[in-house]
Amino acid sequence: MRKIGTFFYHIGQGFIGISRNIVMSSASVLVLVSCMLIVGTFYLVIDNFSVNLKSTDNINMIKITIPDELTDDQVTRVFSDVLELKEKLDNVEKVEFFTKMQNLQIYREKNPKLSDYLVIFNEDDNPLPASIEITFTSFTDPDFEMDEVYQLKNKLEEIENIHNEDIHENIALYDKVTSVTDTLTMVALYMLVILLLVSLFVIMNTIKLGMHSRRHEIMFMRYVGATKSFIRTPFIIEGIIIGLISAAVAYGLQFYVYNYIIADILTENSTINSASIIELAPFENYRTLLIYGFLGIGFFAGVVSSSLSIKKYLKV
Amino acid sequence: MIEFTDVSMVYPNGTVALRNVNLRIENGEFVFIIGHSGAGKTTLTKLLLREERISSGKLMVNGFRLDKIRQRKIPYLRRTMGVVFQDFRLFDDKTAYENVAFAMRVIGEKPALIKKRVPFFLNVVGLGDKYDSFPDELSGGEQQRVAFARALVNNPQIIVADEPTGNVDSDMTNEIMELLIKINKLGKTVIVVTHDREVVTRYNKRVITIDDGEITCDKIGGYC
Ligand SMILES: Nc1ncnc2c1ncn2[C@@H]1O[C@H](COP(=O)(O)OP(=O)(O)OP(=O)(O)O)[C@@H](O)[C@H]1O
Ligand SMILES: [Mg+2]
Repeated sequence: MRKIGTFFYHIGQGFIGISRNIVMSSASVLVLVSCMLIVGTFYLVIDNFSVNLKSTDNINMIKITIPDELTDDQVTRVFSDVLELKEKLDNVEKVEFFTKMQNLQIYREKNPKLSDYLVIFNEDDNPLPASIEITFTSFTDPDFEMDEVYQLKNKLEEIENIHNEDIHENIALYDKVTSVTDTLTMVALYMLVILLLVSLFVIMNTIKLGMHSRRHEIMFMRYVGATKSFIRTPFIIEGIIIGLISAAVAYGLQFYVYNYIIADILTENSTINSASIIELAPFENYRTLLIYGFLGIGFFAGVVSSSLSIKKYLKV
Repeated sequence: MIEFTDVSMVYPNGTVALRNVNLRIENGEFVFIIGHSGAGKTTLTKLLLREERISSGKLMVNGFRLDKIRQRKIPYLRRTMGVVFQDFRLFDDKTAYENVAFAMRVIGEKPALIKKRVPFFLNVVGLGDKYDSFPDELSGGEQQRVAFARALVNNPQIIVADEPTGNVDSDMTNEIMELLIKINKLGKTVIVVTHDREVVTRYNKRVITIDDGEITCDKIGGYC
């Protein structure tokens, strides 16, 4: 009973603290919301890019097209050379050989709308070459060595009867996009740290101001034997309330920023740029993560800043 | 029970406020502490509350050993003492009732108990009809009495009053002294710091004289 009564007393005091100091409290919410929103937006953009990239076909493979003029013996030689190279690398998942006919079959399956036109091709009249596909283990694997891919590519060029133009890969694209998203991630992390520090600073000052205006009460509480935690709790709750309100506001704003602003810039709905850059994942996919993330940031900022600011007043 | 054994107290700036104090005050006693300005009277009360630490010696207060006490035990020590400050330290934005209730609220007492005890102690100090007055609607003496009710409300064993008659007229002084005697009769130990010699001579109580940080006299009814 006593505990519960005290708990509600503290919550009430927390709200009183905020309302007494509404201007600074609002400023704290504003700064914290900006922090969450900027970091959230960065995260959503980065994640959409990498999801789109990873779902792109043929990204983690090298495809060798076999020139039609090679004899069966020569083709077998090429394939065994490739298999030999594979043995020396750890990050190759599989090496497959596709005949001209298999490739035609695959092409038909992939393009059902064209099947009417594709019937004219057959075993004797097949424009598609035979091919060898080398598939790597996932690039997201932390052990993956991108260098090995380039080394392999160089070695493939040395195989007899295979020329530079027969080797196809999208790895450079992957590399580029990854390095862009990596950079963006770093920027987002730095921003998170800086904005979080700014938020902590503002909330700390808000709570210090509240404590300063109540310093006589705090002094008195110490004299009559209030415990430190009793004195501290309303201020920490004040910080937590600021954090939670910020999380709620940031979540609402993030929804609009994502569905209306980011969507507008990055997708075919775009009014700025008619070309579709990527296909945007639905906001629902990020709901849980954003809720936990924002609540986490808010809670952390609230607790840390209020705990730090109260120290000075608890000395007696 | 309060027991000073060879207690010295030196402030960080080097001022020796108390030297070699030996003193024992039993439960239920009424004690005046007198001495010149700067003698160390307030310092002595600060030591009791563990607002300041003793520099050497041993100090026992209500079963707590203050030279060894842990930080988190200090609130519980303070709950055994009620302090009335010279400047009352009432909260201007709280009524008499709220001022007294606040002292209970902040040590986590139940609202039901608060509702019972606050009116009781406001009646003890004779403010039964002024529950809802704010401090600036009360006379100096009445404010002082609110401060006493607040010091009493958590049922402390010891009441410490530093200069309670410091800035009131003689009628008021008598009123306050009668109140202190009444509180003493409730079984509380009462420690009154004062340099009002007239008051001290009028009441035949134990008088401890401090001079330059040392106890120079300790006897019933008057000075040495
Ligand atoms: N916080 C402090 N830091 C340093 N010295 C202090 C401090 N407080 C008091 N003193 C010194 O300690 C000595 C005792 O001071 P104390 O306040 O105990 O005197 P007092 O007997 O209460 O005097 P008064 O009758 O004027 O209230 C004085 O010399 C004073 O200057
Ligand atoms: Mg003094």
